[in-house]
Amino acid sequence: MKSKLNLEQLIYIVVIILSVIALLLSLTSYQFTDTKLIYEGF
Amino acid sequence: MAPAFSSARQAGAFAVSVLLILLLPLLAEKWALPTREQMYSATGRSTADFPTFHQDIFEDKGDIDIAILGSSRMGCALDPVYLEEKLSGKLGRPAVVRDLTWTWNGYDALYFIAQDLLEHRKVRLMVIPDLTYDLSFAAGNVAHRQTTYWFRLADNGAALAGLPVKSDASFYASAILGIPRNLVGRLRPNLPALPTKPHALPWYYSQSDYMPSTGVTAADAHIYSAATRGDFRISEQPIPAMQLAFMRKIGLLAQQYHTKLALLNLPDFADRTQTLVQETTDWPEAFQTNVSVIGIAPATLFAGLSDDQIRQLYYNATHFNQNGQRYFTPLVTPGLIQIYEEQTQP
Repeated sequence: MKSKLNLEQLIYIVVIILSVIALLLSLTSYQFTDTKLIYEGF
Repeated sequence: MAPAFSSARQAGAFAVSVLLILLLPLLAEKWALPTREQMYSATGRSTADFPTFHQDIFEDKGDIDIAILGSSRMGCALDPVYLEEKLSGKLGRPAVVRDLTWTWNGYDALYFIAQDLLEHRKVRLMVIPDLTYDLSFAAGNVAHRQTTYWFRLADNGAALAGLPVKSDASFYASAILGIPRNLVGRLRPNLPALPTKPHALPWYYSQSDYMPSTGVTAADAHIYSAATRGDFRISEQPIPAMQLAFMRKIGLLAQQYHTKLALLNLPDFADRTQTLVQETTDWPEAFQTNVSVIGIAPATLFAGLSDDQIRQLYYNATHFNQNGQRYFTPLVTPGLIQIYEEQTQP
C-alpha cells in the first residue's frame, strides 16, 4: 500500500529539518553556547 | 508527554519563525541595516572600548603613524601614549599612535577591524601580536567570539570565499546573532567615545607599583633578520587553516594600503627561562608579505628576577599588567620606531 505524506506530516518534517540546521549552526560557534555572549551580541 | 505543538498550524508558525531567523543575514541587506559606521559605537564597552574604535576609524581624520591592533595581550603589553611621545620626539612633530585592542584571539577579528581602519585612515605601521596563541584547531577554525560586533554578511560576505565550510557556517551563525543588535541600532542613538578613557581592560591595573631593575636595555630587543636569526626559535607549529587564510588576507590588505606590518613578540610567564625569542611560525611566510618581527628573549628580559618578582609584572600567565607594560614598552619602543623609519624612508 502506498502512503502519501499529508500536509501535517510535511510541516513536522520541515520543523525537524529547520531545527537541525539551527542546532548545527549553533554548534559551530561559542556564541550560541555562552549566554553572556548572546546577551552581549544583542 | 504533551506534544510540542497543539496543532499543525502552530508547528507551521514555528517553522516560519525559525526560517526567518535563519535567513536574517540574507534578508537584512545593506538597505535594512544601519550604516557600518554605527557598528562599533553600538557595541558598548563591556569587554573592550568599542566606541573609541568608532572614533579612531570613522570620526578622526588624518594619517596614523602607528596603529596597535590585536587581542588583550597586546593591549596589556604596549603603552600607546609612551610610544606616541617617543615617536613625536624622534619625528619632531606630533605623531599619531592609536591602540585598537579587544579580547580573545584570532586573525579573523584583526582582518575585519584592520579592513575598516585602513579603508578610512592611512596607517604607516601596524603592530600586531601572535594571535594564534592559545588557539586549538577547534577554536582556530571558527569565527572569533565577538564576530557579531564587526561581521555583517552584506558587508563582509566576500571575505569568506575559500574558507572551510565549518568556518563559513560559524560566520553565518554569528551574522544571525548580530542582526537584531544592528536593527536596534536604527532605533536609538549609540555610545560616543569618552573624552578620557580608562584602560579598556580593567584587570590590567596592578595591585602595587613595581619596576624591576635588571640592566636590560632596548639594545636587547632584536628585529628578526639574517644577522639576528640565532636569537629566535621558530617552532613551525601547525596553524589552523582559517587563521592562515586570514593571515594571508591581512598580508594582502597591508600591501593594498601600503601599510607596513610589525609583529611584536609577547613573552608569557611560562617562557621566562627561554634564552631565545619564541615564535610560533615563520611570520613573513605565513602572511606572505614582508613582516618585521621584534622581540626580546625572555631570559634576558627577566634576567636576575625571581619568579615572584616576574609575577608582579603579569596580571595572569599570559597578560602583562600595568607594571609589566611600564617595563616592557620602553624596551621595544626604539625597535618599533626603527621599523617605522625604515618603512617611511624613500
